[in-house]
Amino acid sequence: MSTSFVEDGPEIELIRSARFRKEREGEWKRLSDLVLHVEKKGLSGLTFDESLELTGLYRQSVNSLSLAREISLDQALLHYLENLTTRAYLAVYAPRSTMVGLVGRFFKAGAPQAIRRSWLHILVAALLLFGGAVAAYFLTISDPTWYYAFVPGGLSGGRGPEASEAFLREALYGENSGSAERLAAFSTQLFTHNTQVSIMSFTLGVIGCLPSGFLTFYNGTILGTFFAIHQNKGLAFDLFGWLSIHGVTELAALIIAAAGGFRLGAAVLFPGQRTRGAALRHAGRDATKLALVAALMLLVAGVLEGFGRQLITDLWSRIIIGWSIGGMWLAWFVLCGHNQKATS
Amino acid sequence: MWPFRKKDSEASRRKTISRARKLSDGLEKRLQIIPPEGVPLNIRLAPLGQRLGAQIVDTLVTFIGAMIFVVLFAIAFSTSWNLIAVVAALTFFLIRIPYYIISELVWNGRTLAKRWLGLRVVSVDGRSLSAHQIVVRNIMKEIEFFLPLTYALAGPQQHWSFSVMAWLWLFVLLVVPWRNKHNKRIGDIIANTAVIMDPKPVLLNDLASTIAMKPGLGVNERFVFSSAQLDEYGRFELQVLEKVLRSSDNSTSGTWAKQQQYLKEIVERIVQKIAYGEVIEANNHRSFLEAFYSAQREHLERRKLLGDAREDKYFKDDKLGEEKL
Repeated sequence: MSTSFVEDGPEIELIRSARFRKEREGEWKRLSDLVLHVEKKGLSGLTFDESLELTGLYRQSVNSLSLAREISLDQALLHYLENLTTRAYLAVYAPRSTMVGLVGRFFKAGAPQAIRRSWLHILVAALLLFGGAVAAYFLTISDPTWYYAFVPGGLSGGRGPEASEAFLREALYGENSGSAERLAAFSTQLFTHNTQVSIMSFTLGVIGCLPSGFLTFYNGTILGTFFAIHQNKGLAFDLFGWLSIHGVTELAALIIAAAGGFRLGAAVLFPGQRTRGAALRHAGRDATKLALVAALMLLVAGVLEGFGRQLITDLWSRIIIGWSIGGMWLAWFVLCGHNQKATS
Repeated sequence: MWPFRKKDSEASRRKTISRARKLSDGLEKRLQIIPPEGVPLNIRLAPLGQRLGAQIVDTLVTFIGAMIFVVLFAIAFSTSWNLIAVVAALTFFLIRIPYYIISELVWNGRTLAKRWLGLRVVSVDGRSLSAHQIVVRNIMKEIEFFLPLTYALAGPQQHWSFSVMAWLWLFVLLVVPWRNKHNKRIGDIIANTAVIMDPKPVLLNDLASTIAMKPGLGVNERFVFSSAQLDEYGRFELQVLEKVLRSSDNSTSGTWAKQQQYLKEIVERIVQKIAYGEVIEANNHRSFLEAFYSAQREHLERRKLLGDAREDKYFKDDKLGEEKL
């Protein structure tokens, strides 16, 4: 089977697979150089001709690989081609989207569309949260000791049923430094608490919705029992203002995070025509967007809480600012991304 | 009396060869990706130790980055310690997920540590890595790893059951990628990604050509093998021989004597097995093996082209088995 192969020198007998390699070696080396270039400078570092050459050479190396597997038993060559082709594959099929494009698409279309697709889950989460709040409110109004059943020790900052009206009022409007410091600490505490609750209600959703539902309901009870404590001292409306400035955003974030968990849980419970894994991955595309929206809202809420609440102490400005920011979220969710093609 | 003995020894022999083959073909776990061009690629997966190392380096990178930011903030605004503490907590919390997502997006599945260690995230489905996949696997990292870790290390201000649960969760988390076929952690499973070793294409010389192009009287003319003599071995033995020849090629002088001894043993085995009617002198051992390699490779490649691929030296038994079936 050996045939002669002439290359600027004496005539040498080469076996078939060695000839195969000799004929193509130049192309492989060129591809290898191009791939290195792309990895250093990115695809945009290539000229038009070079990028054409890259894709052409990549396809040829794929062909070489599948051919070499048939005709060559040279392990070094097979390894080389496998590695070269993989490297070229990764360079050719690199993610094309830019950071700016991705972020823009998320805000303009992806996020609001995902929110609208999940309206039912958001509604359920909201009902659970406010259901919990209403239940706890009436329980605590009739018997203030219920407060201790609902609120974890570290969260209240000393504002239990035993606190005086003056203390509560100072916590809501306080301007002297001691209270402000305490409030700042309480803010961060609450911020991380709600972040953790959001993350947990999102992830626990996978286990068939129930744990997320329970968490959301429970968080509602904390809200309700706080209102009841302040109602007993005639401060409910002031608490409403105090909470409004960041709470509108923060509670909405909690609801959206829980709704994301519900989407995952619903995919596990009712996969429909898909397998459970496929349904979960499909629901995961929207759920991830909900989680990102919730994270963004929690961040905004944290900023509002850290700066806005301490700086703005007037009741009505608190309410107006809080609810107008809430209105802006709603406008984003409802109005954006209608004419873009659906991204899912 | 022992009707199963023969079968047993057969099975154990099979086991030995398959173990040897595994040793030779690589112990590493591999991932098969089928790109749109339809030719499967077998890629070496990143070992867990490397991934842990990359994670530690990345954690350090983000930690140092956050430290620098906080120090600059403190110098620039020189406000109260409380505010600095709040800013620090927020920075440490916020720098993590965006760092991983942005770096993996910009550098095609590589964070800084992954670049340094030669690791890379790929999509298992053979398409390009999507932004969604990167976001999912890194958000899951937060839930899988960082959050339980903070609970696990949080100390006495929380109920002890939280710590126990967190440690248990971390343990499960370690077991998942270890037991997984493709070293996937939970985030990888959900995002359908895997972490591979960045393949390094190094083109070694072609042994057959090098041998054929040696100056002077070619070894292929000096040692000639009949077709029957080449019917003893298969692909596996050929590639073991290839490895031996390549490694004795560039051996250092210290191990030279050992290499010679090794070559001698191999030559004796082959001469005996194929009944080569000539005693090979010590200075010809390497030449003999080179000639045998060339001839054997050409022979096996030709057989393979004709539809007679020979996996190893038991190929005749395999054929018999097939005919019986």
